[in-house]
Order: sequence, then structure tokens, then C-alpha cells
Amino acid sequence: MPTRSDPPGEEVMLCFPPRKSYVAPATDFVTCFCSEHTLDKATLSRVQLAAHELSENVVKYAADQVCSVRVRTERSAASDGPVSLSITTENAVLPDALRRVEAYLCALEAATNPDAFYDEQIAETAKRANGSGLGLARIRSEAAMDIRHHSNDGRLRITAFLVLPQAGEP
Amino acid sequence: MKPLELAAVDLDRFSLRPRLEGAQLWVVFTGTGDLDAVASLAGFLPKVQQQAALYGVEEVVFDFCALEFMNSSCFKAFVTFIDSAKTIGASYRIRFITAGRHYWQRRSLEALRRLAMGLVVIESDQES
Repeated sequence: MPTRSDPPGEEVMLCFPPRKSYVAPATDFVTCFCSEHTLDKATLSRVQLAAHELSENVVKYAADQVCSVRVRTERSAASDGPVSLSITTENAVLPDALRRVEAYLCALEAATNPDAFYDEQIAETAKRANGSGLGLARIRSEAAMDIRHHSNDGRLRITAFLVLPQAGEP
Repeated sequence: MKPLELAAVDLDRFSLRPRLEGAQLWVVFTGTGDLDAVASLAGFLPKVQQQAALYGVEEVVFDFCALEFMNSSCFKAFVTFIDSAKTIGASYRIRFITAGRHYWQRRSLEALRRLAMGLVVIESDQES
């Protein structure tokens, strides 16, 4: 059983230049970190999907040479294992792109039915010339992870988080 | 019968192997469909459509059993493929063979099935 001396959580953070070749290692690192926290395979698969989509996004849309991926688990005194998990990416974004992605993120976060929102994006994606517009919606729908974002001084931070089922819960 | 005019794709971490098998056009996917695979896949799928029409196949089968992951940009290529098949009133079905160990496949492909009910069929390797 955890004690009062247990840390409230664990986290690791990777900072790297926006290169395609770093997407797979970043995804693998997040997945490996999470696999240390007794997640079942189905949940790990959801985390891997989110880590891959978020890592690709920071690499594709980074406007400077620094982007980051951070994964964090939090635990409570009442639980043997982690109670929540989050993946956060941060990168600089050009002003026009930032306006577009924030509008998209606000719509995504406000959507009460993530699957319906995802289906709408799928129906529209064939008409898009650039990008799929699916990655973040896919995280909310397929990975069933909530999304939050924050921007400051041209840097965009996106967090996907998951409340983990505890022992005895369905 | 003429040979299939559809070349295999071989990248470092992604490959596509097409073959004609009776009235089915099969494409076996291997590896990871990531940013490096997007352009190849987006160029390959329209050719699948052409060949499917040319040979009058009843089914196009995408075998995902050895596909570890597919990103949203590759996913978009399938949305475009299915959307196009719907638009032209394609007479073939589109069947995806999934591997139970790749949990993401069921969830991802379910979204494609919702896009084209009746046209897209999802089958698990555990059912076949």
C-alpha cells in the first residue's frame, strides 16, 4: 500500500527539435513509461495512439526548434496505482495557425459527443487540402482521452488525459 | 488474365503487398503507417480503385494483421478511398482484416465503417 512518503506522481519530459525521426522514439518512450504503471494492454494502446498523434503534431507544426512531450501519472493516497495519466505537448505555433488550431480545440473540447464530432471531421477530411484535421479528434474519440489546451506568447500546450479505472471498477 | 498493374510499396518501416485472388484484390499491410508512409499510401489507394474496377473484383481486402499502427494522415487516405468508392457507386465491398492484439484497429476501423455502412466490413483474424 502507498504511504504518505509516496510521491504524488511521476513524470518524464522530452525536449527535442521538430524532426520526423523523433516521433517514434517519443511515442515509444511515453508508452514505455506508462507500461511501468500497470496499465492493461488496451489502455496502453489508447495511450500509444494519443502519444503518436500529439508527437506528430508538435513536429509538423513547430514554429521554432524546441518542442516537448511530457507524460505524467498522478496517484492518490487511497489507491495502489496511478489514478490519472496525462500527456502534454508544447511547441511554438505561427499566429495564423494558432488561431485555427485554437478554434478547432475549443470546438473539440466543447463537443459533448466525441464520437459524433469525430465522425463530422471524418466526413470533412476528404475535402481538406492540407492535414487531416483528425488527430486530436481521434484522441478524444478512439483513445477516449479528454483534451485541454493553453496558449501563451505564441506557444501552444495540449494535454490529453485519462482517469484510470481502479481495481474493482468495471 | 493480365497481371495486376499495382506495384508493391517497400519503405523502411512500412510495406504494401497487393495480389489478386479470385474475385478479391488483397493488399497486405506491414509495419507502421506514419508520416513517412502517408505519400506512398495516398498514391497507392487510387490505383487500387482503378485495378478493382478494371478486374471487376467483388471485394477489396485490406489485411491489417501485421500493421502495428496507422496515423491520422494515413487514416485520411482511407477516408478518401472510401468516399470515392461511395461517390462512383463501386460494386465491390471493402473488407478490413484486423488483428485482435492490435487494440487500436477495431476502434479506428469502426469509424470507417460508420462512414460507409454496408460498404465496409471489418473482420477479426480470430473470426477467420
